Amino acid sequence: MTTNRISRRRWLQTASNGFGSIALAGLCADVAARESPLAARSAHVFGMARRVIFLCMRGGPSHMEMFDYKPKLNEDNLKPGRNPNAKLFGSQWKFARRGECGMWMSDLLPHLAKQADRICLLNGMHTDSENHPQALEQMHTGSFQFVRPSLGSWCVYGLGTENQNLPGFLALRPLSALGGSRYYSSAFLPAMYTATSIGESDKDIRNAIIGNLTNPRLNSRQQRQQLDLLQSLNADVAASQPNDGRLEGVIESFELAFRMQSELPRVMDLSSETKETLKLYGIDQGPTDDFGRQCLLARRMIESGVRFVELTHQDWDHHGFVSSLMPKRCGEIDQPISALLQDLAQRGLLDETLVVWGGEFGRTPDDPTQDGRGHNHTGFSMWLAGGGVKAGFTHGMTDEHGYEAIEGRVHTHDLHATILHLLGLDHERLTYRYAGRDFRLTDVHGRVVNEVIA
Amino acid sequence: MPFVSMFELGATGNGLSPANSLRLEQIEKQDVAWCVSSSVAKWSRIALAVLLCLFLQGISCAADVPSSSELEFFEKKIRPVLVENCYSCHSSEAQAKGKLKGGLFVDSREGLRVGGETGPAIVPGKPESGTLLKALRYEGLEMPPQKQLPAATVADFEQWISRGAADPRDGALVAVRRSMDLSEARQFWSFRPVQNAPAPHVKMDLWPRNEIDHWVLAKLDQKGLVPVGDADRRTLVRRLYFDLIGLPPPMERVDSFLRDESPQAIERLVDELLASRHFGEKWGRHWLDLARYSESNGRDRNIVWHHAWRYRDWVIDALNRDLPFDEFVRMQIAGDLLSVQKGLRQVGMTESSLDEQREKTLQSERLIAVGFLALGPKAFEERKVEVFRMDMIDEQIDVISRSLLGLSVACARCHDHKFDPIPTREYYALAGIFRSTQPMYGLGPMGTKCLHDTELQVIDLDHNSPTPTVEELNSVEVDPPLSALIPVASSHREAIRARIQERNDARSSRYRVVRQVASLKSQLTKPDADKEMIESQIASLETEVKEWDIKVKRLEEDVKDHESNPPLQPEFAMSARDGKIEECRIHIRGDTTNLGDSVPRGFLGVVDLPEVISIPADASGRLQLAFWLTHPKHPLTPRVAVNRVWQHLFGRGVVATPDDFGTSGSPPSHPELLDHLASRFVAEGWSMKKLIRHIVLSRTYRLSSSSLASNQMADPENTLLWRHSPRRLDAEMFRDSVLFVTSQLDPTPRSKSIVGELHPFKEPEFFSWSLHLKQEQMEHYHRSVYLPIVRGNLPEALKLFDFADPSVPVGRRDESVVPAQASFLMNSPWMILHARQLARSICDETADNGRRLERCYQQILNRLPTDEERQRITSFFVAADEESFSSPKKSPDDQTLDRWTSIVQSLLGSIEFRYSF
Repeated sequence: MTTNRISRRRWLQTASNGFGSIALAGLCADVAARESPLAARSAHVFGMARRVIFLCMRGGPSHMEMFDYKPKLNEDNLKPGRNPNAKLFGSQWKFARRGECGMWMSDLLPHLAKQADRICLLNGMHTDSENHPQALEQMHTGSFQFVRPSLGSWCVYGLGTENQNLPGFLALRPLSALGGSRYYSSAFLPAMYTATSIGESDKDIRNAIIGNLTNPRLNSRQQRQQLDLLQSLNADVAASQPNDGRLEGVIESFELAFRMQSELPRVMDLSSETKETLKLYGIDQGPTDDFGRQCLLARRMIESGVRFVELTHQDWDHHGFVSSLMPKRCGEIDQPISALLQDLAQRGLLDETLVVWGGEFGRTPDDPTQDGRGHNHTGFSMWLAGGGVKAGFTHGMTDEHGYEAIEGRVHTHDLHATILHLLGLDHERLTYRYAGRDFRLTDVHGRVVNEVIA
Repeated sequence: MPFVSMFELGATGNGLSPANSLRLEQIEKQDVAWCVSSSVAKWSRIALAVLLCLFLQGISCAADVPSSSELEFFEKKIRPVLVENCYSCHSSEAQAKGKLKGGLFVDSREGLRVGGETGPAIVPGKPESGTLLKALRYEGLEMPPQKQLPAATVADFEQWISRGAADPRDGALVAVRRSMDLSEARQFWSFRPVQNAPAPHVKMDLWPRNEIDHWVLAKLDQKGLVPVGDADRRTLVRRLYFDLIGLPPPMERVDSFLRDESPQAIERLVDELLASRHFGEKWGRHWLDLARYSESNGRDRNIVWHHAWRYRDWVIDALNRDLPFDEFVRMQIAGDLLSVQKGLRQVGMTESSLDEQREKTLQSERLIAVGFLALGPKAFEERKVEVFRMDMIDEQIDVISRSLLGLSVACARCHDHKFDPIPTREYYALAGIFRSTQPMYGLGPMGTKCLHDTELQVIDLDHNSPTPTVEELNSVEVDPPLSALIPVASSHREAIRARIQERNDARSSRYRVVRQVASLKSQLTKPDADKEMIESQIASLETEVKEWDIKVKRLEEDVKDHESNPPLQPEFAMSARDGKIEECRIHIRGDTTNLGDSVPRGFLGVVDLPEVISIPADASGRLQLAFWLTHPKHPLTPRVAVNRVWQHLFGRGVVATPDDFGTSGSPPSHPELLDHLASRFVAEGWSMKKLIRHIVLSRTYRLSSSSLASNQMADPENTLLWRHSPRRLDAEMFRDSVLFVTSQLDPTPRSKSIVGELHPFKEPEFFSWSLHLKQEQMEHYHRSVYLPIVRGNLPEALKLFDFADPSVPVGRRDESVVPAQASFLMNSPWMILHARQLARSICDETADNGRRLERCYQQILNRLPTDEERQRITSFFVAADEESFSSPKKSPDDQTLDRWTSIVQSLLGSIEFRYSF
């Protein structure tokens, strides 16, 4: 018997009254989970989805180029648009009906076209701001006037998380410029619900480093010894303050941090994936590598019980060079995203995983330069898949040119209400009391879009 | 809270007897309580009011009798439209269903005339005055929201109002939205005058050391709780060090304190700490949390604020010289105006109250202090100037009201405050003061046509320096006078801005041509293209691009040259000054395009002061606001201030919600104690140091943190203060303590800030990749209060441990426990580096392991290890040997150092070190 074990056992004895619940590595994580703010909780109502993957397309992808077929726009090409200085500008890509459902999609998305029967397309999106920072913030938090908790934070607050060895909300390559950190913050919700960032917005995900996750000095055995020493000191103090839950929390947090050290790198390590899988996602295949890795990581995280994973893809703000930039950007995400849908479905995870795709707004049908598009927050497209939404279904539409959502209108607040609903959370009941007020993700707005629920 | 119910019964005619109205008041008064009433109670009161309406409907008495033709017009053309289109949201029935919108009732004559939150709906005879017609016309408001009424119907309404708005619906008693009843609202505890009741008698009359203890013990007696014993002296000296200066004590001071058996030992220690320069570094930071102090704008454009650090230093200095808190506040609200003698007369002060000499030396300081108003985050991307301006004003109102009054006045921007007696009108009365004020934060983003630039305040710091010697005067190095610097600097700023604009315009022009080329090239691929013509066009455009290339390059160099060679700059500060004096109009629902009445500048009506402070027509009102806020009889400012101090010393305020003294905040646990502290605070000249001294010399403060099972059951939160609650060290305290115990702390203030030292023109915005900022944050050995605070880019060691978000006022920080903190303590290079420093110095000091351990404990925890702890370390060594703790390749000395590093790091990460007991 090593001294290490003696000290740990002794420590447990010291901590026996009230401290049996300490989560030692692999010993009694479920007991700790019951008292942890991250403990899995049941939903308000029945919901199909248990987890969310949010594919965030920063910049405002053009709906007229991807999902929103506008023959009239092409017909009226070069005629005056609503903007006095601009002319209508038709799409350069062919659209066709895809899948059995006959969903319209352009040639820019050949892979995703094959997944059309899994997608629930929202062509009537609208939001409140036409500026990137505000619209992005509203997409993430519901508000751009005030600092509010992120969608992911609300989800973890509502449901806890299923793996006590990992954080509940992970953000891959989170945006940092132009007010970024607020998109993933728990704001007034407890800090436990803030996203744990993986990677940086300007670095490829393959080079992602997670802060302080590895000890530069000790191997894990030695670290365990040092941690045992520290925990024995902590247990002494905690025993002298038997009713202070915070101190128990401190001890627990060290154990989770220690467990994360092996768990998170395991989740991040793609070497156990088959060649076929890597190929499916387009990993190591040039332009698809980065987003392919992000998508595969998202699947691994979801599989490991993480509640909310957000992925980031940038540079959709095409004021010029639509003709060359759209094929590039679409090429980077098309294969990885369809791989993700396919892979989730194959593993039986799609039914309980809600995939959300979209940017902060869409683009204008007109342009002064005839190869770019302006910001359009009055009508654009997003899509959902899995998690209890109708598959192969198109909801809502914009006017004949794509300026404005005219039918099946879905505001950002409505989308948020719907996402929570699919998770079994009532957006009017999921509240948090702060500064004397009960706050909601949807504030005083939001309507569950029942039309898209299967 | 009587005013929670915003609706009361009012007689539209004179049919309601006084007795009836009295009855309702009594019903309401039964609910008067300090605690927050549930919304259920609120709604039941309203429902009751509605029932009474129905009951009393029969009683009627028309005031003036309109002609029958007028009434017929109403019945035919107006009433049906109202019933069909408006009643669902604007009637007693709607109210009963909880669907009433905007506080407006259109189901009675009076309801229309009194109007809702946005003012009267109609003014008989004046169709242009009320909100109703505007709404029907879809001008600003759009009613009914689903579909605009036909033009003919709208014309009917116009005609009806012009002809006097005859309306027979006067007999019915209706629930009329009242203006909030201030006298009733003022009954709420925090709006009542501060009382200074004599301290109560207690049974254990030897226990109290001062008045505080009487109030605390009386409450404990009442609940049958007995306080625990006093803290041991070692714990107490650590507690005092952390609480007063934010650092642990050096071992020698612990020893000398333990040896000092005189009854004055504690007082001596307290006075020594209050006089320490570190006092302001600790307590100034608490104010900086509330002032949302930062050195950059944050939000969408993270503009660098080179001069913000001056405000930080001013705050630290103000705390250190115990600047009276009322003056501290006045300088931050209206420092720039305080020198104006006229202003002093306006608020009833005589000129002699500030003498000439002091006036002069204070001038720069005041200009720096008022930078408080300029520090808020701003949406520079906002293209609508009015939206930008009103958002900025809102931010100022929010910070001032939350930090000083403990009220969230900003809630009233769009609607009357839901819980507190703050009508929208009063929000815009305050907004008028800030509309008449220009905060000075400098330039917005460079290189865009920025709509929101302001100047910076030039300050003259020279008058404080001693008279120059003859040599200095003769020296060539002497700075040119300020008067010469200012015009040069400002014309340089203009020039640089113009050049950047010119450069950007040239870049865009070049890009346009490039785009034309691209588009022509794509036309070439088409089968029927006239290749020859297109190619010649391309050729000529490509020449044009080359010309632009040259031009752009020249302009880029020009900009660089201007950026790199600025003329000598004067000293600047962020500040504020009066702008064009104007009233603010009510912004209906906070919308800048939907304006209601103009509101005279003023303050909050619920605060009842013995004298009226009025704002002259030619003044912004900021000076008057400053004096209103710090009036000695103000019910909120002193209470809020002392409560914050109490919270920093006990971990929890007498009012547990330090930023909310309104009806949804917590009621005070010891209301008389709070008033005792507040009245004493004002009586003692608003001295922070005297207040802190008074509190820490109480017996209550000195209690041990040990637990007592019976008390724990009765009062688990320790609200009644039967013991001292252990607290985690703040982020800065922890960081500073690690540096201090490992002998790495540089106790001198860091002059300026890395942000202040950045090039004034080259790097106008921060991004996350600002590497030298990260490096500075790692290598900074001064106290944490001097770390660069950049929004969105906080130092890791602070951010992880719940540093206050510098974008919003924070009165109470989180005390989160997350794995990322543990990861930092276990694995961060910063922790390991410092642990190793101390381990090395201890290993160098002695070769004896027992002695080494003692040194570790003394240095880090100010105590010796217990026998059990010694045993534990021995076990750790044994285990470390068995598990080949260190690489065998290392020398024995390095292996020893490795182990001691682990021991030191464990102690630094331990709860005992990171909490104050």
